[in-house]
Amino acid sequence: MTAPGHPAPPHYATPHPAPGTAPPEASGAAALAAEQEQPWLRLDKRMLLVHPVDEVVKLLPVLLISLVVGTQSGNHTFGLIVVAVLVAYALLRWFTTGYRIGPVHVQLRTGVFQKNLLSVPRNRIRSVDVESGVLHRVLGLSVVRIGTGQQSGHGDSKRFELNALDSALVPALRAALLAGHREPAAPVDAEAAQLGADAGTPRRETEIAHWTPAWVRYAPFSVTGVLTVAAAIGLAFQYGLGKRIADSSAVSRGVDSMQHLGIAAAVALGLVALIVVASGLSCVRYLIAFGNLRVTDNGKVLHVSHGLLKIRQTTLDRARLRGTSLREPLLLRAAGGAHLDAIMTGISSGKGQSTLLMPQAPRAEAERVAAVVLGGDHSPVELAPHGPAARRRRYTRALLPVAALAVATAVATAMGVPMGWQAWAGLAALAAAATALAWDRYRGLGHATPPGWLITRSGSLDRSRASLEADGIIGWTVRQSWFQRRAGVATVVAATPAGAGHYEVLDLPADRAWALIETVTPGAGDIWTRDT
Amino acid sequence: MADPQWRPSTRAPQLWAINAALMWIPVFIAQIVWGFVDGRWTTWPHVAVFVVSLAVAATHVLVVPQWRYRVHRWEISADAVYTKTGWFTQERRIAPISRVQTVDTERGPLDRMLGLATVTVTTASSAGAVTITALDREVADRTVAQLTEIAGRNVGDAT
Repeated sequence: MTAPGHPAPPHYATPHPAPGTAPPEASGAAALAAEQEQPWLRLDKRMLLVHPVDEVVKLLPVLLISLVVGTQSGNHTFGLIVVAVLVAYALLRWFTTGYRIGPVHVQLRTGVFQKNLLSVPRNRIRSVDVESGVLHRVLGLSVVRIGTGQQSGHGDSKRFELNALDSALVPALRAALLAGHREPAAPVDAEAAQLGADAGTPRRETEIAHWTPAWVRYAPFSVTGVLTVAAAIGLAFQYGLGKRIADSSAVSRGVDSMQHLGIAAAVALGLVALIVVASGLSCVRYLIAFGNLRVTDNGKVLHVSHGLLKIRQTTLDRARLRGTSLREPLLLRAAGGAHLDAIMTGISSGKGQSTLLMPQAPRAEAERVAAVVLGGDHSPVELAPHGPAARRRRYTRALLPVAALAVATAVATAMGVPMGWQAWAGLAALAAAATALAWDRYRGLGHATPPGWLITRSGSLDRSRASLEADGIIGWTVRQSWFQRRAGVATVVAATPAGAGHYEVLDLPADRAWALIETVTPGAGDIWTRDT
Repeated sequence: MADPQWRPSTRAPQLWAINAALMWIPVFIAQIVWGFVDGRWTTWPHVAVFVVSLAVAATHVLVVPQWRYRVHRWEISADAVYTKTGWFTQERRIAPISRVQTVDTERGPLDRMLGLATVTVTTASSAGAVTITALDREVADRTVAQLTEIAGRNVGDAT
């Protein structure tokens, strides 16, 4: 892992670049040769402290089991061996990880047992995310994650992650990696790289969004909080905790008094408790994850940084920005809040890469940020509704399952299965809920085509509005099921390499479908539009 | 919007029918095994399941390929690829040639037997790929040559 003995070509005379610095991007045989001469660098030495802790935390359950076993058998050797192996493995990880940032590629080699070399061409780098957890921050380290926007890359092994570098080196490194291709290749030397990085960074940064603690009030209006609590309770019961709690005297006394109160009151009380706990938890989560959110814009890139304990910094390249997606789940919408995500070419939010612009925040604020991000005169536009056929389909689709249930209940009653009034009351409640859902779903349905843009909104429980740049649309699909053909509507799907990959305009009247496509991307219908 | 003009190969329904039939074979094998293991293959659950699956399979093998053949159309202009596919759910897809990234030809064993090929035109979006199924081999080759030639004239990274 030392520098090869060959002398480097004269104009690339830097056999020992400083860690965490990037030479200016270049191409050609000379640059490649210079890159081959570069030595592999190690990650920051302080990781020798962090890695063991990480490994131990990762395998905490195993350790706990071995601890329990040790206590029962009075023999702690096993636990100690496990810890020793973990620590040794963690140290080995540091010694076997090397990286180098050359003018053409960035390379990372990892693997204690199975060697892995990951090489990413500099001109394919789409994003550089920076993250630092609590331990990293205490030690002054940052994790640098390089994204290429590769759609097919799976798994952790394909992720280019430098865990971790000295935090002081990171801003310059990030700027240099994102600076893009510049001709001709300048002499490679750390100072030049530093200068180049500075030159590549536009000067004026304006803050376009700033977090205020009052936004925490939107945190409970997400489903995740309730789900977390439900999952925790489920897990607890899985491990027999429920039975033990139920057997404990406090609870049995509680159960006795509840029998006086009646089942309904007990259930209501339980629900209230669940909601309170879930709300508290989601507030805490929100604070930790999104506290101190700051979005700045320097005309070329957007910087997003957030987190109280673990600070996460994302850089979104404006050249790859294709639009925004405003998400308003039902509960959050009722509270007047919204999420905002950027639609970026080559970055899909599914793979740990963040496109977040705003977490749960006041809707007006999210819309304002969206307008600033999209730039120009992106004033709010009225969305065109999709007409009576689409409305009818919302109602039939919501009510058909309820009708099927009703038929099943009726058949069961006719066959002599006793069905109480509760079944019918339940069905009525379901029907009411379905009707309300259909009403809200139709209300949310709409699209608009301001020049150069496609705006589409749909959904009720998961309403989202996507504003997509017409330039980012690289194909169209018009889809009609048999039912849609009968109703005279069609779903128009805009394909894009950005964000979710496809954005749908649901149940548009069929005769308006091609007109919409022509409006958004003139000429896309090509010769076929003239033939009608 | 006019339909695209060209149809797939006349042997396309055969291909779809064989594919459908192959898909149903395991289902019938499972039913036969079930009948033998159970030992009462003339009782009504066996007969009912058999009749229903036979009806569905017959539709799938005999009717659906013809339906599909009536729907399927494709055409390539100087600027775009346009297809119409499906049967119950029908899709029309347009991909501008300026955004084409790769052109693949695929020939499975059945395709080879029938002298067919499937051409897939991919774009940078996974939702934007256009597949032209069951073309005669010469047509497919000509199409690929034509597409690569047109796509070669365009520059840029097609995203």
